[in-house]
Amino acid sequence: MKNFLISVLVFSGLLTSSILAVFLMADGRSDSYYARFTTPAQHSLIIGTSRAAQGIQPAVLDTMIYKGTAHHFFNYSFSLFDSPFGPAYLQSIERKLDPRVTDGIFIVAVDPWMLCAKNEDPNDSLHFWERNSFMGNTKKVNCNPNIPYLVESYSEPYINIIRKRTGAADLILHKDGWLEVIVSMDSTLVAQRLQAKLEDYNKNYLPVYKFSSVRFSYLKQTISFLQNHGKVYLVRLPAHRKIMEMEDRLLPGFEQKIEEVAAGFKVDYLSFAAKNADYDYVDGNHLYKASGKILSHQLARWITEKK
Amino acid sequence: MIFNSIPFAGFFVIFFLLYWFVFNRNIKLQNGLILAGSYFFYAWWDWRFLALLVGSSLLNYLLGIWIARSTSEKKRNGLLYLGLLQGLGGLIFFKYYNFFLTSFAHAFSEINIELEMSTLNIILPLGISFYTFRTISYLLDVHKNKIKPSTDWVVFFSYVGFFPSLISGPIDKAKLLIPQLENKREFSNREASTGLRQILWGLFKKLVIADNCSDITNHIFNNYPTLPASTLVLGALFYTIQLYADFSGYSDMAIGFARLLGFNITKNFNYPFFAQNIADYWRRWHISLTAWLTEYVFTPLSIKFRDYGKAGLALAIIINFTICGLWHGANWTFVLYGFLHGCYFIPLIIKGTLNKKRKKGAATLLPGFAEFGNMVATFIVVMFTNILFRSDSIVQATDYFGYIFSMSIFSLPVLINKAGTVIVFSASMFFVEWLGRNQNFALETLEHRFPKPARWAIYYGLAMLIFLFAGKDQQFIYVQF
Repeated sequence: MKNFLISVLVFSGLLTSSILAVFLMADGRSDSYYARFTTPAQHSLIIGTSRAAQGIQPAVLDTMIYKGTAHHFFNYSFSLFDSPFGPAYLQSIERKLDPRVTDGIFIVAVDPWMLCAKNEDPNDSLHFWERNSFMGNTKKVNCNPNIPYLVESYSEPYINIIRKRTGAADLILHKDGWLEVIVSMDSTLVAQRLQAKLEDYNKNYLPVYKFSSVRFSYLKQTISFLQNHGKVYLVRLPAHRKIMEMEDRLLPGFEQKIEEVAAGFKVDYLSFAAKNADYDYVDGNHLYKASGKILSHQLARWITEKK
Repeated sequence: MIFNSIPFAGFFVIFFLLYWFVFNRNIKLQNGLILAGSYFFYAWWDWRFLALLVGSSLLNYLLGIWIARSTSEKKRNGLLYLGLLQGLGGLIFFKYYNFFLTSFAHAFSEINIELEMSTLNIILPLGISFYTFRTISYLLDVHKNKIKPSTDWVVFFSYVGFFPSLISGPIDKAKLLIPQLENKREFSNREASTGLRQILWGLFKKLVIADNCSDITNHIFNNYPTLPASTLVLGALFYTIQLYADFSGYSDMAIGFARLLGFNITKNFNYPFFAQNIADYWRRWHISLTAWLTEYVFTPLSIKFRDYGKAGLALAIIINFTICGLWHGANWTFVLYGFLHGCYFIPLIIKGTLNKKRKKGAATLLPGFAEFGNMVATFIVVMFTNILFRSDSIVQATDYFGYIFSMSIFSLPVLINKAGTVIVFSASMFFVEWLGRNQNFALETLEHRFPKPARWAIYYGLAMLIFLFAGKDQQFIYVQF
């Protein structure tokens, strides 16, 4: 028995060390979310879904707003499935924000999808999808390596941690939380991706997403929480015309709703909706990185003016 | 709490240490721990049905004693029927009630009679098919005086609820497990190491092969109308591999965990894809269920039909396999699956080769030409029938077959993500199993063939493959039965 247990312990130790070594290799190429859970608690955050994750570049904001200071922006936006306004995302934001911060800047990206839910009852927060995704499950958001995330929420085979680190990447999650998508912008491919996105949204999103007053109230709670730690700016990012038309059908009067919220909380709101033709999109929904850089500049200038 | 989960690993480590270090001096205490552990394990899944498991154990425990004590044949039969009524009644109610009801209503609607019947919202208690078959075989064996009833309630309750095989078998016979529960278990380094090896092999089959196959088969079966026939054939192939890797992987783990506790439980698989014909296949696939049905269904039926010669034998086999199919679930797909397997025996019955035992193959590296041909033919028959097993309905299955037998069978299959990885690992699994086909499981005698450093390297390599290539968490297929 003694020999058996010693052998098992030695073998387990060897195996655990190897597993830990693989976990230590995980980085911004491992998936689109992991690296955001491996930085310390942050001072200023960008909140939103994948539109903001890809479209707002913290490095550009830093050079214009935080130049010469120790502060930085951190993009804490994820995806429509995982980070619409709701209890899970708010709790995660609370964990990610350094509680001592009182002078932070918070950019909250809003769009109609983030105020909707695809549940039978859109106000049944117990059945919000993100509750059981990594957003609801990841309680430790500031540790490196983030083993709880890798064990519970990493959705690919672990071999991909090694493969993606050594191979050519099509997604890189930077240390400041910006998700860089490396993709061909050949006009035919862009048109194909737009078509696929429109079909997907028309078939799988528009018929099932309904306005959720609970999500709407969580937008307000999120603003309220962030206001305790600094200044909040609401932003609507642009998308391709056809996607924005779809959003108008999804939630008519969205702009007015947000303007009312902004007025109620005395925060500034900037909508890029009318200028959507000025930018390039990888698939109609997400800004291409060059356009994201331009938009981030414009956003930083606006914030500087409003400060 | 499935075997390949962190909660189970934690549970088993604590259980193992308590079992061998704290409760090892007294067999009653050790059995009490098995019972408590088994009920904890079951309640973790769904505590609501624990009362059913306890109630079923209690009733069958008492009935066993009363049947043995009774001298009146009428009373013995009455007690047996009571037990069968409880076992089969519970099974029919929880598993088949809605199925029979809707099938009945559907049959009447075919002749324009609409019956107003409301189905019940019934949840199937986990493991009910497995532990019910245990209790039924126990009562039948006691009734036939094949075994003496257990008079130690802890032993009997532990037999029914023995956690390594509670959820998905193997379906152990009382004469195998109860004596082991009654006698003191001694820890054996060799048995424990063999158990760990078997668990490792089971994990590899389940996590690396079955779970990765699952992604592919789900994609193909969910999108079959849009895919070429050649891809649908691949879907059937991958599903057949998945089913085997999933269930035999589970069984390997169950047997391995039992070994770690000093028990030898029923072997459930004997390399079924190396079978030479369908009869051989069923002697190797889900052995504990096949043996159960052979003893309690086929044998009585074949005796009843013996006057009808080969036709009677064929009928007994077809009924036996139709019941086998139905055992899997309340769906006509399973009924047809079982029926077809029964029909596949007919050529063997006609040729008179049904019970022809084939010589155990020597441990050659490659099979003979005829041997390989038989293996492939049997595999293909099983593979195509498994389309029924995987389909949600007869309509889907016939649709799937319809798409397969189209001109697109000659087109190149659509490459599904991960297919290459799965093919490499599946081929490796079959190769290792082929080399180890004369053992209880492929890696059983590894310690005789390799020195310790090489063995450790193999274990380490296998464990890392499991860690690196494990597919997304999937439930074991047979848990739903």
